[in-house]
Amino acid sequence: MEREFSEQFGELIIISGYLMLLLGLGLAASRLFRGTRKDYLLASHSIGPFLLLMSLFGTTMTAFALVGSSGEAFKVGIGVYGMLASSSGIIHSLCFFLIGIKLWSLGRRHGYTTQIQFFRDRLESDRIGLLLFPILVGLVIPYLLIGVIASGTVIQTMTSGSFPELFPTSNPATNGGVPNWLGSLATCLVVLIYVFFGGMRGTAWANAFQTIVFMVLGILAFHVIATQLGGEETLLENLRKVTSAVPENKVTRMEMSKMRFFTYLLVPLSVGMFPHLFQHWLTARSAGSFKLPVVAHPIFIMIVWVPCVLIGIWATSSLIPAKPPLPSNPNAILPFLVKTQTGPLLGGLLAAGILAAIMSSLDSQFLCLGTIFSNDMVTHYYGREKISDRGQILLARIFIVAIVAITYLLSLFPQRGVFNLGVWCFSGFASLFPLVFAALYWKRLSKAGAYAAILTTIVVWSILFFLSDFGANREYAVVIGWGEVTYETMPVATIFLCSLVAMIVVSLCSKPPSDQTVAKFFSTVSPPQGGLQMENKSPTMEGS
Amino acid sequence: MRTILYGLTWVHCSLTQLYGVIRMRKFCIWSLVAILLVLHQDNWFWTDGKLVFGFMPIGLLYHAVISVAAACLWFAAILLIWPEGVDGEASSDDAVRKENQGAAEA
Repeated sequence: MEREFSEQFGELIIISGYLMLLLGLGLAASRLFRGTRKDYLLASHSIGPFLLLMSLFGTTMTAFALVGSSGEAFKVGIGVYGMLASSSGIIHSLCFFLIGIKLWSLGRRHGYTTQIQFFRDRLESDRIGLLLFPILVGLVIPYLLIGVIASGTVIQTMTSGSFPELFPTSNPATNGGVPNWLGSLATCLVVLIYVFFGGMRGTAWANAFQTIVFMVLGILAFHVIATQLGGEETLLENLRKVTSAVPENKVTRMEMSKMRFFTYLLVPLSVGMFPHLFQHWLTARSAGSFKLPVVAHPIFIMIVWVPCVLIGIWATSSLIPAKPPLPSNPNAILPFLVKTQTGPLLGGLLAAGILAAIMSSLDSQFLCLGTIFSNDMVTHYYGREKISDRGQILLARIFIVAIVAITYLLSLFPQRGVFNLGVWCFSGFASLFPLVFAALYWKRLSKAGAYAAILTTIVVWSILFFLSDFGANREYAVVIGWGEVTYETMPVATIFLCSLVAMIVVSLCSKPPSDQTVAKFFSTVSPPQGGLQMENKSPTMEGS
Repeated sequence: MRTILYGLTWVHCSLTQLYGVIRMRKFCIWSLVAILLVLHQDNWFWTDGKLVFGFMPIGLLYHAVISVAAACLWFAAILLIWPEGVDGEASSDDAVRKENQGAAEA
C-alpha cells in the first residue's frame, strides 16, 4: 500500500516540496531587502562572482537546455550540440566580456537600470525609448509564454496517474496528471511571490539554487537512464552498449545543412541585447565579478548539454522498449524516458530540475519587464522626482503582478505556434546586436543610424516571418544562390546583415553625436558632470 | 639637459613598446577567437560516426573540446586584455557618491 502511494503521488510530493523550498528561499532573500529602489531592482550592485555566474547561466539556459536539447538531438542527432551549445559557449562569453563589462561600467557611472535608459542617453533621443519598448517587450513575451506553457506540460506529464478520476484525459501519457492550467498557475505564483518579495536579490538567489539543481539532476538522470537502458554492470559498459545501438545518422551531422549550421552562429549574439541580462549585469559588485562567468560559462554549458544530447540520441536506439511507444513530441522525450526508466523519486526530482531551468529564466524576465514598464514609461514620463523611492518599488511590483497575470492568461489560449517563435525571438534580439555593439565601441553611431538599424530589423524580420508562415515552417531558410550552387541560411543572417548595413550607412550620412556624448561614453575617466545622475536626466538628454 | 632628454626618450620608447605589447596581445586573443569560430564549423568530422572510448561520437567530443577551448581562451582574455579602468569603477563610484552625499549634508 505504501509503495502504491509513493508511485501515485511521489512526483507530485517532490515537485510541491521543491516549489515550497523556492518560496522559502525567495522570502529569505527578502529579509535582506534594504527598502530602496536600487536594492529591489539591482540588488544594490552587491552580487559577487559565484552568484553572478549562476544567475547569468540560469537565465540564459531556459527549458530548452534540458528538454529541448534532448528533443532536438532525438530529431537531428549530435549536431545540435555544435549548433546550439558550443557556439553559445564562445559567443555568450564574448558578449559578457565585450558588452556586459562595458555596460556595467557605464551603468554604474551614470546610474542606469534598464537598456532603454542607456540608449536614450547614448543616442541623445528620448523617442528611441518609445521605439525600443514595444520591440523588447514583444520579443520577450513569447519567450515567457514558452516557459509558462512548458512548466504546465512538464507537471502534467510527470504527475500522470496521480488523480485518474479527478483529471482524466484521453492521452495515456497525461491521464490523471495535474492539468496544464493548474501546473502553469502554480509555477507563475511561486515565481511571482519570490520576485515580488525578493526583487533582484531573491531572483539571483533562486537562480543560483535552481542552476545547481538542474545541473546535478541532469547528470543524475544521465547516469540512471544509461544504467537502465544498458543493463550492464559498469557505467562505461552501459554507455558503450547504448551508444553503439544508435543509428549512424544520429551520431553524425549528415542530415544537417552546413550553411545553416554556420549562420546559426549569429543566434547566440541575442544575449548581448536581452533586456533581462542587461539588468543582471548591472547587479555585479565589481567588474572583477564578471571574470568567473566569462570563463566558466562554456564549461557549464558543456556539463548540462552533453548528457542531454546523449540521452536524446539514445532514444533513437534499438534498446528503447517498444512499449509504451515514444511520444510524438520530441520535447517530451526526456520527461518520457525519466518517467519510464526511473522511479518516482528521481522522476519527481528531475521534474523539479526541468522546472528549475524554466523558472530561472521566467523570474528574470518578469522582473525585467516590470522594471521597463515602471522605469522607462511611467516614471520617465510622469517625472522621477514626483515619485518617491518606495513609490517606484510599488509601481515595479504592480507591473510585475500585471505581467505575470497577462502572461498566464495568454498561456490559457491554444498556443500551437508559440514554440516555433523561440528562434524568431532570438533572431530579433541578435539582429539588434550591431546596435548595442556600435553604441559602445563606435563613436560615429548616430541617432539616425540607430533608428535605421531598428526599423530595418523590424521590416526584414516581419517579411521573413511572414514568408515562414508566421514561424509555422520550422525548416524555413533564406536561400542564397552562388552560380549554380545554392546555400540555405538562417533568417537571422539576412536580418543581421541588413540591420548592420543600414546602421553604418545612415550613421555615416547623418549628423554625428555631440562632443559631450562622445566624451561621456568614450572616456575612461568619470565625467565630473553628468555622471552619477542616479535619478535625474543626464545633461546630454536635455533638448533632445 | 642631456640626461633629461635621454630619460624622456627612454620613457617614450618604453611606453611605445608597452602599447605595442598590449596591441599585440589584443591581436593574438581576437585572432584566436576568430580561429575558434572557424574550428567550430568542423567540416572534417561532419559524417564521421566513430565512437571515441566506444561511446562518445567523435563529432560530439570535438565540440565538447571546443567548449573547453573557449573557456581557456576567455581565461587568457581576462588575464591579457582585461579592459582598462573598470576595476576601480565601483570603488571610485562609491567614493564620489559618498563625497557628493557629504557635500549635500554640509
